[in-house]
Amino acid sequence: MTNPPARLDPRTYSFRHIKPSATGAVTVLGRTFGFEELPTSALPSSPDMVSGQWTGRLQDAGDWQAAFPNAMSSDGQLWRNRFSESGRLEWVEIRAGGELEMVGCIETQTPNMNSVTVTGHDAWWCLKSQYERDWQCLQAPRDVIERATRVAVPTVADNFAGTTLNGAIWTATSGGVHGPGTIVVNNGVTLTCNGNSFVEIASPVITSSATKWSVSATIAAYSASATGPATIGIGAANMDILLEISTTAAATVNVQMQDSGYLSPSIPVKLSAGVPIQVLLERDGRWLRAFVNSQLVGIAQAAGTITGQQVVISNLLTVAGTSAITVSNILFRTWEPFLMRGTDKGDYVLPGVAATYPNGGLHGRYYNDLDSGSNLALVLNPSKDNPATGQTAPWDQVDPILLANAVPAGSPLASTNWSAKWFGAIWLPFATAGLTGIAVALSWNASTAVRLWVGNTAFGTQIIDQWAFGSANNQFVSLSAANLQGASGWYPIVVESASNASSTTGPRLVIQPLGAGYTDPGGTVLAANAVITCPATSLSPLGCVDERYQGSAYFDMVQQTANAFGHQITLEPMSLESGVFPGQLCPRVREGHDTEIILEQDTSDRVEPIINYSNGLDSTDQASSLQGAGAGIADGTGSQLQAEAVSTTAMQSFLFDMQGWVDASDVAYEQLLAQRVVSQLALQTTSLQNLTGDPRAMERYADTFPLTGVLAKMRWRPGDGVRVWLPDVNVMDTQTRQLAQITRQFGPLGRTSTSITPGLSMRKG
Amino acid sequence: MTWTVERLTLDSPLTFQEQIGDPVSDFGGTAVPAPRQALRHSVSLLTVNAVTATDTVAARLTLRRQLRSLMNNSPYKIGGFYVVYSDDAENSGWYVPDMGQMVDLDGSSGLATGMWKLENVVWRKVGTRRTHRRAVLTYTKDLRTGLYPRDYYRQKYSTDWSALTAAPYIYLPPASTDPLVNDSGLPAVATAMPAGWDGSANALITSPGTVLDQTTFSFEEPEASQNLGGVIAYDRQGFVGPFGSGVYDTPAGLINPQTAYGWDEVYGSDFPFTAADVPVIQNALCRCRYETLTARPGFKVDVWTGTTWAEQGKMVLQHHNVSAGLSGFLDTLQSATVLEYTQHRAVIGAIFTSSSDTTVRDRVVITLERGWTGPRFEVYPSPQTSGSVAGSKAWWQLPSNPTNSTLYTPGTVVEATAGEGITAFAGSSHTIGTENWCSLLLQGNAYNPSFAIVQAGLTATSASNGGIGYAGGNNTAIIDDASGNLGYLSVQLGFSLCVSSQTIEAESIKSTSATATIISDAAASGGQAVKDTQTTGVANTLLSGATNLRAGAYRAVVRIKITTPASGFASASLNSGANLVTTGGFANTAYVWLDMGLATSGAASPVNLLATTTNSSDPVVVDRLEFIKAQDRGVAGTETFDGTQDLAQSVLYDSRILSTIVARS
Repeated sequence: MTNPPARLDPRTYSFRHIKPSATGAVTVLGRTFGFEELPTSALPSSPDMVSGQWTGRLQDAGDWQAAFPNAMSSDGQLWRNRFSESGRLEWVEIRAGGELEMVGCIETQTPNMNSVTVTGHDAWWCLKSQYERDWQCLQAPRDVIERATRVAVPTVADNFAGTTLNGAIWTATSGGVHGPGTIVVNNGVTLTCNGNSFVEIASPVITSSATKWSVSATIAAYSASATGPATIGIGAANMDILLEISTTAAATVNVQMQDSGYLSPSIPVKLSAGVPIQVLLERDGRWLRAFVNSQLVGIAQAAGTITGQQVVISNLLTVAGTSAITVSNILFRTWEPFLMRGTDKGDYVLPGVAATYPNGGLHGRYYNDLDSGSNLALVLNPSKDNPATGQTAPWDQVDPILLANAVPAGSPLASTNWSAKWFGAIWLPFATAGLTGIAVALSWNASTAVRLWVGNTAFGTQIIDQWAFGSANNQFVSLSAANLQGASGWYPIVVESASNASSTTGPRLVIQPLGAGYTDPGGTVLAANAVITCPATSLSPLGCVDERYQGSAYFDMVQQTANAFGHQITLEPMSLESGVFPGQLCPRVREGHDTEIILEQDTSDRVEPIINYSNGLDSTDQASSLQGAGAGIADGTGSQLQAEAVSTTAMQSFLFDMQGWVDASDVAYEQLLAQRVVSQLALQTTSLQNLTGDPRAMERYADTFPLTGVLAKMRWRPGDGVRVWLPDVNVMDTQTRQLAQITRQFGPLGRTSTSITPGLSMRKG
Repeated sequence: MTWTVERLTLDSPLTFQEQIGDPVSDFGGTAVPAPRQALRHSVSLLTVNAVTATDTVAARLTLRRQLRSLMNNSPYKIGGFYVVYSDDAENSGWYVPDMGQMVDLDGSSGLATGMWKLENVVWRKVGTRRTHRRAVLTYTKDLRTGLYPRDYYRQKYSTDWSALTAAPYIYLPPASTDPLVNDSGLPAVATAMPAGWDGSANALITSPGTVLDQTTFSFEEPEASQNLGGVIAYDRQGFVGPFGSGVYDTPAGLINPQTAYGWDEVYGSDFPFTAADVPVIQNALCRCRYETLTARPGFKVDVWTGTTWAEQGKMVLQHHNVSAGLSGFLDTLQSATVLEYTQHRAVIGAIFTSSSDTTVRDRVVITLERGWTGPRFEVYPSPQTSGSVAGSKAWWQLPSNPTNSTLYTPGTVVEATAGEGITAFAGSSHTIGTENWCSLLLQGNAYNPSFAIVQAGLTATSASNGGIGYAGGNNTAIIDDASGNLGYLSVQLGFSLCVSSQTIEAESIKSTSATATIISDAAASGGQAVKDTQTTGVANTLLSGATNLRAGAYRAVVRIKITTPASGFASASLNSGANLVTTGGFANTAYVWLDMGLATSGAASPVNLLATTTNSSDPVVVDRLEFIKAQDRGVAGTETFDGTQDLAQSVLYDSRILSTIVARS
């Protein structure tokens, strides 16, 4: 520490109450928000805020609470009538000295005779109210987290109550070349065609650009012939995505999914008398799926960007007779960016060093496409990953390089009409001196379609996109520090290819260091500007999330993905006017920064003090060997992955072999399981050190550690690093340790205490 | 023998018990360290004046009120009160007093005798000058980001003026030496500002790279300067003057209004303020006082000239309710209080209604900080009866009209008097759109007022209505929410020293060029102008000797025309060696103000004007030159930062300082 910190801190606390307001200026998830500055007073007899606290955490959501007198505030409102805990609609911004410390959602309020206590969490907690219905995922962990920071927003929702069509939602159209039909609303809407007629209701144009949306509806009754289907879905300016429903026999409806040029096979769905039909049409990025009564009736690749989309229900009859459809409710939801909607998207590079990931090639997964032939709208669709759908199970192996690979020898796949995904990580050392960029390239033949993602693997961000047959080619893409944030390391990579009946080989993956060469993690020297097939030593089969999510809370997806891949993550609060209210949840290699600050015993005003400290050492989960169980069925015949790690040094020094167990059913790859077990054992061979205490922790500018002379504001946020020098409890740090949790307690006059419990935990040694 | 807490002086304590040492705890039979505690001195004080001659019952009751307002001002207290204990100087230092009880000394006759005792209160000693240095903690929020409120009640967030330069201004207390950025250990560069009313000079730090938010600046300072240069709030106790023949300074010199006028210093909100008055606030450089004696009620602002408080004008506020066609002046004071007080910053709040409009109930907030040359006025108009927000108007009227007045709004038009056949502003409005300020240039005055704003959508209007702030139709600058729907108005006043060279009559500096001649012109100020027939830039038309302009940047304007017939096109080039070169062109046959843009001038630089015309039969005619000081940052160490842009850039930051101390290292 260069100079003593300030001793007196006269900064006061303030609260801002954020809530929906017709006159507000900020729109979040389609709602307009305004604010009210909550009164605070410095007078001893103040009827305003009494006390509060907030806690921020690394790898977990934060929380907050505040207490007010159960009385009238100084601006004349009763505190007990001021807040609403319902619907995640109301929030508070907590500021110290004008600086934002916490944005918390109001989730509970508890008035009693004396006080009104309001509590809640930060915005990350909202993701506990979002669930993944069914998602076959193969993406970079950062992309999985970004997806899980989105929330579903109902854009059109109507249960057709009463007897009048809601004019704010629907516009009716009837007639045209087919003559008019009728619309009747009676706790449901019935569209009836008598003879050659047409009738439709459509919502206003929806401006969302979300690529995940769903239309779900309940069809209470349906009668029609095959000559004019009823439809439910999205009508857009440039395409229609519809579920077509027609009847050909009693107690059966035929359902087809229509996506512009694509029409799925007609699926007959048996009906039970009096039981409504549940229909679901959903787009999830790349894929479009339709379900009737939970039965998958269509799947295809969504075609392009949709513009001018409207929710439509229609009925059409092109011959004499009568058809009618009654829809009792309909809901159109879009999944909108919520906690990562700014320009900050976190780190694309995977946490770790060169040795973190084993090199040796990419994970290859091969699919038989004889069923879909050369229809690129169907290859690689999620049902192919699920043999229960009747598809041939994919074939997995590690491919050291991608050089016109054929289908694997010994696999049951045909040598043509196949597709494949290769995924894992690629080593890109952008920080190499003299390196101006790294070009990666694919080359392919005329009967192969290809796509390539590096870093960002979400659909739509592919850097090579030749998803059509017809021309052999190669394409270089120069990656640089500018477009991938400049860090050296392993980056997620995904390659897709599809080969038709004329092709037996896949693409070639090429790499070219620009400006300077380097040596990759496997020891291969890549010469400057040399164009070579990307060597196995620059590729790892690990680095992407390969998992099917069903019923997973988005909160858990964020937390578990970050933990599994070593990302650090915390909710950074952002103010209403920031454009990214209520916060940003971005995975990073490192959250916060290391400072020169040393926490010491409070023996003089010259130190950065910590009081009430203790240093707990805990060996209750110590181990000298760890057994790990991965994905698969525990049938004792090798269907489940197993791995064991042993520390002979620890084993010899302990009284006996202290064993531990790692349950890693989410890990489906042997190398990854082994790696997890080894890294877990490295932690558990030593005791857990739990250092807690109450630092004064006043914000100030501090140098980095090691010292660089560059000052940055030390805000005491989760992830920031300090050293601790407490010889009386055997703590004498030579390296920084991160704050994992920090709790601030305050009153209107300022901060009353700060705790870091268990904020400075680490393994001893 | 006294116990002086900040500015409040009491008689010596009845008892003073000094605690020494840190606590020690026991663990079994072992003495172990206990958590360190502040040194807790027990002190009993009487509400008695140490000077027997003035120790009256009324004075004692005043002391009680002042002590209460100070002790109940917790935000001030948490930053540490500096106590000068004259009996025992070793125990002078920074204290944070705990709560205590004010006790009637004899149990029954306190109100009759004024004798009250603040008994056995724990005064936590947090530092002394031998162990600690005085310091300030910065609060500097860049308002351009839209992330911090622009107003006192934290209602207005916007990115207005975000493309303009902004600068945080931090004023260290007087006589501070060895200023240090404690976070970095780097010495800070502070510039001494002009001396003020109490003889002290604050020091300004404004380097954007140095003045960061939540930085600590520590410094050495003699104890005698501890309470100088700061903000003082007064309750006038009904003594609103005028005192003597001057403004408020008779006899001239250092007058303590508390003893000379009977005003009571106030140290916080908890004070029985005199009805029908608004507390006065002043720092060492300016004073803002509520005034109802001349024309409409408003706030007069005085500037300390070095020898006297000089009245600069009066701010009259008006509700602007456009949609309902109502515009009531805020002429009926309902209540007023001190909203915030430390010696670095005071905020006054007042509620006004209007005698002509029953829908008006506007909140007025007046803020003054250490080092500011003028106060900030904020108005929160009550909503219209429809519930929609209303607007406000701020009238700044001069006490009298100088020889020439100019209202300058950047990027628009210069509004001026005299030379145009009028003695007062004709009245026209201009949107304040290019930069967030406008300014009056008052020829012959000691000071020029500037007006800095934080919102877009305001207009600057020149006017000369009678009966606004003064009985006469004096020149007035109006800052107006012309739309009447902004719901808020903020105007920060600033005053910069005015020198004679800021207004120069052309005929007074005509060069010896053969093509330039002085002509009589009734349309020109002073009745004369300079005509030049040159068609190429051969010789300067005007040539001054050394001017008394301070080194800095100026918005230069020239009053100029060409003669009939209007077939020609004239241009003017303003130069002063290498320092000041600006050019403009025009084709007007009536005088126009040609904005020559922003020009820099070194101290004592000459000002030359080269005027040409495209046709020698259509000579160019120059009436006068004016220089509005934009930035006073010409010479390091002597800058005053009192130009209009200086002020305008400072208001785009919310810059404050909070008291703290640091240990000596």
